[in-house]
Amino acid sequence: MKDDIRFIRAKQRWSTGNRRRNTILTLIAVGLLCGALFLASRFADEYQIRILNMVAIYITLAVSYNLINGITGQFSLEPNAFVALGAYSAALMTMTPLEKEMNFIIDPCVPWLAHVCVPFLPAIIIGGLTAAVFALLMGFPVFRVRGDYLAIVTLGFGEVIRVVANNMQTVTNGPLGLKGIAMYTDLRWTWGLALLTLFVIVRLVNSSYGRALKAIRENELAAESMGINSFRHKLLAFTLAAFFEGMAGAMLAHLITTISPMLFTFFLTFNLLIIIVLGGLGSLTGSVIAAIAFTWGSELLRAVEEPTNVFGWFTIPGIPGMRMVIFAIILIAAMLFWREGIMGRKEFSWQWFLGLFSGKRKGAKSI
Amino acid sequence: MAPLLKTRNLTMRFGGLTAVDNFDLSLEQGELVGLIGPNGAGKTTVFNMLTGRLRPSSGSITLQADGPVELVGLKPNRINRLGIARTFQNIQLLPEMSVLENVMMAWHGRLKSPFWAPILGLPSYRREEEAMIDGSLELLDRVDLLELADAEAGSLAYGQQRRLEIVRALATRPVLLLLDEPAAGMNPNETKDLMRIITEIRKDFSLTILVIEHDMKFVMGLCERLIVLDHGVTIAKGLPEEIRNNEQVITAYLGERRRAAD
Repeated sequence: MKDDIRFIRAKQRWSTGNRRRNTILTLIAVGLLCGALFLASRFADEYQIRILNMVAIYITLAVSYNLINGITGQFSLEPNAFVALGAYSAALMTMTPLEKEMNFIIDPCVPWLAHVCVPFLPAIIIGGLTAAVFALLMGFPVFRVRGDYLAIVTLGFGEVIRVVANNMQTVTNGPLGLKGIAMYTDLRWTWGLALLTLFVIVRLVNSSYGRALKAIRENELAAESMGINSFRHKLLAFTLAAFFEGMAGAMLAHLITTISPMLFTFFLTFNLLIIIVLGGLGSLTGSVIAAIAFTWGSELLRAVEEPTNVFGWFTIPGIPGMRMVIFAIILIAAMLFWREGIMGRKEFSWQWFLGLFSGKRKGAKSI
Repeated sequence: MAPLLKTRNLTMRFGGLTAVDNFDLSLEQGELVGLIGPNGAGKTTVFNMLTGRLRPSSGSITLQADGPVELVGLKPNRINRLGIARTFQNIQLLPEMSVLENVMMAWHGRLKSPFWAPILGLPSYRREEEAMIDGSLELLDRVDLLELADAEAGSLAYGQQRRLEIVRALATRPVLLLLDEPAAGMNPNETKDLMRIITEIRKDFSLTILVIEHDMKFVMGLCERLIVLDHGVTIAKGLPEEIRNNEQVITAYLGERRRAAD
């Protein structure tokens, strides 16, 4: 094209540039992570492995939730519904006919489900697809409204799904829930899904589609006037997020092996909201950091719910639910003093990371 | 040949107020027409109806694309894809994104790759992205914003932001460009630059341009034809010289100004 020197400089800053170096560094980092996880699977105890699994599931959930709430700027409150849909549909797929017969003691399972039994991988995908199909159907009515109304409508949808799960005795076994789900989930599955989610969403956000989503967040009027179909893009972000949330739900079901509608109340959404707000709405890096901190932190905070003996002088009785109080306080404090969250809208970049070592701090790339 | 854009009896009522009353406009391919009138005359309302932001109370808008297309009832993004792009009176950039990203965002509507193409890293998408960067930088070079490609759009000077808005509209490859007060808040030198830029892009992109402007030097120097609105009613149409000497226009618009100046 043009060989003007100014032009070439401007272009270099933008196009592929150090793409190869970044790819290699990313692969090395993923390799190190896999190594660490392998060591953990050999030497860590069951409790620690469980935390690591939960960390990965929360990373998956937070990153996909941030795609719709942070990147696209559509404040919605329904991930608990998608997690529930994924968890139930995947669990019903992997349970053997005999297990189903034992679970459905009040009413027998509907015939078209009673004899289905598929391996774990197709079950995960079915879990994700179920959530995605619901998201697509739900997107048509809900994206007619914006802002607070969107939040309320999606919150309602989340409750509807839970109530339906509670009452469809022949499909979900109602409030009894499903017990004895095979524990297929291990570190490979959860971290594999987390990495896949990150890969897909980061690539999407860094592409032209990501720019369109951010344009909708920043100024929907301008975006539409420039030929961006905001409805379709919101629907895309929503459905994609639901797909990964559904798969995370499938992982969750096969990790804790017992699911009931009580597991998928608004509290789940609330936890995710804390994570993405603390990490920074619109920063995927922030979501990852906050997901790790939150999951690990809430395990550490179990201490506050147990009776504590303070230096042998007196004993504080354990207060159940104290963890949530502390999280709420942290969230309030973050909103008061740290409005942008840990990362704001900045993202991790190798450029910035290498800059730390060369002494030249260039600042993370804002996207 | 049929006119590029034709409106018939275009009317916009807000409750009891008729903001635009029976507006008839016919734009020939390649024209540069000015839409003037005092504040509150309904000029921006006309733009909002043409771009689908407002749905007219009555009337029709026909654009000559591949065939005649009725624009009333279409969404803004659809109208943009049919070839009408606009700038805004109160600048509507994405202030936190870079100058280049602002232009590339406007390219997105023409993107052919589906969303999974960038995820899978398909070469077809990479080619499109490269073309997008090249094209956007070239457009920025035209309005002397190339050096600022990495700057945050919100950090630009006012005149630069206005030029960026024009470039962003151009990135959608329009046939008809609607400029809403492009020279507002510019000093005489910037205005002169802007007139040069508009003349150039009009020729190079074979654009038809409809411009709202209050700067009379700008309007008289640039437009081939003028339409004057007052309280939603078209009070005059014609060549700039005719408008300059039109009694009705002088009372409605220039006259008011003269009196205010006394």
